[in-house]
Amino acid sequence: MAADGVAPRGSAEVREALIAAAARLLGAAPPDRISGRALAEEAGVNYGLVHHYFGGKHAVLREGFTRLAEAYAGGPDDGSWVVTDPFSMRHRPDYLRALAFASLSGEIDEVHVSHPTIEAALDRARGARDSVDETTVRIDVGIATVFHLSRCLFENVVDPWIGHDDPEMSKAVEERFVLILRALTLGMDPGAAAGGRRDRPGDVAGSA
Amino acid sequence: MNASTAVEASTSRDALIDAAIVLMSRRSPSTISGRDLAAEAGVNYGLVHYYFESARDLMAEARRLHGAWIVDNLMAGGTRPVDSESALEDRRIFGFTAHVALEGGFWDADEPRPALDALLDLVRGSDPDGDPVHHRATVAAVTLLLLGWPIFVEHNARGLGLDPEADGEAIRSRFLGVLRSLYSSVGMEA
Repeated sequence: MAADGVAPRGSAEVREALIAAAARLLGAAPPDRISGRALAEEAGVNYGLVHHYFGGKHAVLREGFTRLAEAYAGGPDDGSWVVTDPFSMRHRPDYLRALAFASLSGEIDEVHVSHPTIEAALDRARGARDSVDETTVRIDVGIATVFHLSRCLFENVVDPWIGHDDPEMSKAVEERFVLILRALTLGMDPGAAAGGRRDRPGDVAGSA
Repeated sequence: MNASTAVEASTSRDALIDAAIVLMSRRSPSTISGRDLAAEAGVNYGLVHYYFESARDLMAEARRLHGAWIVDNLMAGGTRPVDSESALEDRRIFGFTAHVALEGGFWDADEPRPALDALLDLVRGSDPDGDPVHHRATVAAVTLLLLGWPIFVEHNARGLGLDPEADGEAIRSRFLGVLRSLYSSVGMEA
């Protein structure tokens, strides 16, 4: 149902209500378990309008996914974090969850949109590694992004273990995570980063 | 209860736990019913409620046993790390853990994480005078990379304009190199 309890009316309102409903539901279930009827009910509109405006549920879900990605890329109004912060995705668990659900159910193709921070990360990596071929830069940014997303998704599994017998440990390990993320992005040795070493990009093995 | 009934009873219960691990590796616990679990285990549905309060209770027990199950079956009782290449293929590791993480309500923060503890023991054994922060960061990073890789790699590769066919081998070998680097920083082989 629409937030104000009044059923959406007219093309723009109905479309908006359906996209917002899709964005909410994608954070709670895999796409194949979100029916057109569930979308209509969540949006507070007639089921027939899903087909009328979008031709089917898949187009609504794609728009919902794009909406989540854009919300993440835009950051919060209060500026309390920015998407270029390490592990910023933990501030947008809805988008993170939507990605994980779609991937686990084998549907990432159906809803896939470009990850909004990847271009920025690529630019940073290229700037630091001008002698490295483009494919290697992209692969390394991809691996770093896996670490970023996984660290956010599995926070409730791993974090209590890290700080279990020593609260200071959480802070120290978090600093190492940031070093590891940086090392992965720039193709440097992640083992050295885990050990606390902050190499310069020029020290990269194989970058010459 | 005579001896043969006792054996049968424990195998039915074990079969239900194994079935929960298999089904939870494929989909969210909230979508799994007691009948699904009984069918997967090949046991009578009534046994779900004989051994457990509910399907949810059975799945919570599977979650509690999952870490020890990894140590026993995939880490040779804690004598070696999970093989990286098999971890990337085995939904019972990443799929199970992801569905439990996404569902919420399954983890008590203070509970032990036996698979993480077992890997930490191996790291400490290999690098006895090393830095405890380095050890814990290495165990956590290896774990996060192994869990996250199968879930996010395809999305990332596409977002980066990489070709899963043409670049697949390069991506994978670079990733395995990252794991080797983390392990070797504490004197271990991947």
